[in-house]
Amino acid sequence: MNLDNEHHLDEQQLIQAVVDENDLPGAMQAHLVTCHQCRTSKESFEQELASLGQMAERYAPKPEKRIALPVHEATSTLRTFLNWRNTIGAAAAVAAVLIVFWGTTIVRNLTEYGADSVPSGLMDAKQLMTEVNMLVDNALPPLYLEISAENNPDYDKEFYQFLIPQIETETLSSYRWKRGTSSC
Amino acid sequence: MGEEIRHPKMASTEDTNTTSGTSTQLVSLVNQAKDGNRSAFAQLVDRFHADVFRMVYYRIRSRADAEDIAQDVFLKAYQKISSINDAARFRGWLFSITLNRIRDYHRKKRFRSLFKVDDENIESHPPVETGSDQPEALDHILREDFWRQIGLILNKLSKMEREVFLLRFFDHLNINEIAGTLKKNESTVKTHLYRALAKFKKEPGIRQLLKEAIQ
Repeated sequence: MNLDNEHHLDEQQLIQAVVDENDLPGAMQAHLVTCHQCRTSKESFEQELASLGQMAERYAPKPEKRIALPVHEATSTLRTFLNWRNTIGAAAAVAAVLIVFWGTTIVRNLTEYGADSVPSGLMDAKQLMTEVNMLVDNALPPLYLEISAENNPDYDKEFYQFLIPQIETETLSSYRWKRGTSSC
Repeated sequence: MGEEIRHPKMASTEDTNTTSGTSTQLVSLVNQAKDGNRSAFAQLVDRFHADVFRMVYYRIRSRADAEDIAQDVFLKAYQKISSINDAARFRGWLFSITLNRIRDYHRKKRFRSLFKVDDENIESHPPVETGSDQPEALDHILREDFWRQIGLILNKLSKMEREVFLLRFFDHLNINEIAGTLKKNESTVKTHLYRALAKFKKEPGIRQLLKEAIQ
């Protein structure tokens, strides 16, 4: 046991010994091995630090939730199967899209060109109704319309007035009465 | 509080003696987990869950957030385990992920605090009436006092000193593991640890508390 106080570890060397004893100079390391006082000081400090960690552990709460890991990682066989399943699924999805697109096109075509596919009897009836409507508008056949000059734009209202003047309904005496004159 | 105190030096010696078997087992588990063995990873979770949870709790002092962060850490580890080159360094690697998550948490907290006046997150434990006859009342007081004293000490340390101090004495990592976790060289770690211990030694409050605990 070394009782020479001059060679005892000072506080800095004591801390250094706690951090890593091997970092002390060789003489100090040798002293630490033999000096009971220095050894006790060092171990006491180390004990304080150890109790610090243990108290922290004791006064910290315990975890309550369990750790949830992701779903099981697929094995190679399962992964292959899943890949096949994905491929089939993708193909089915593409097919479904095509079917929907195709179906929509057919419906649209039916709507647009539906007239072509209606029965001929229905078409005849429609044509007949068109002719009837034309006759209601003007019963004269086209030939007579030519003769009657019905369609000539030059024969306007003034021309007809010239051909067939409007009949004067007022007499000469009534006209003079309106003007305030008399024949006498 | 006359519980048995485990000596740190003894602990590290014990670790070196006992971990030869367990580290082989750990390496085996890590390698199996790397190969996609979910059961092996679940065993790793069982082994390290409490450590990771405590590690987070020591730094953020919120149980709920610590639970969430621990969950994130293991999810990240599960996704990235194939990237481990040295299976023996799993613990340090896991703790690195944990520290990164804690940093993210603090970053988000700082950002949130820009928009929030009151962002005090350190939770106090469920209130217990001090004058009550409940057996946990004394324990509650001791716990509150302990964390208050720890808070006072940690606030006096720089960021790096605090991290090294916590990793060494709270998370029980050795110098080499701390260097690996923080991606610093060992002499840097020792320097910060030395400064932290020098400041710790000047704190009479916590030292008295610890001396009482030892006695």
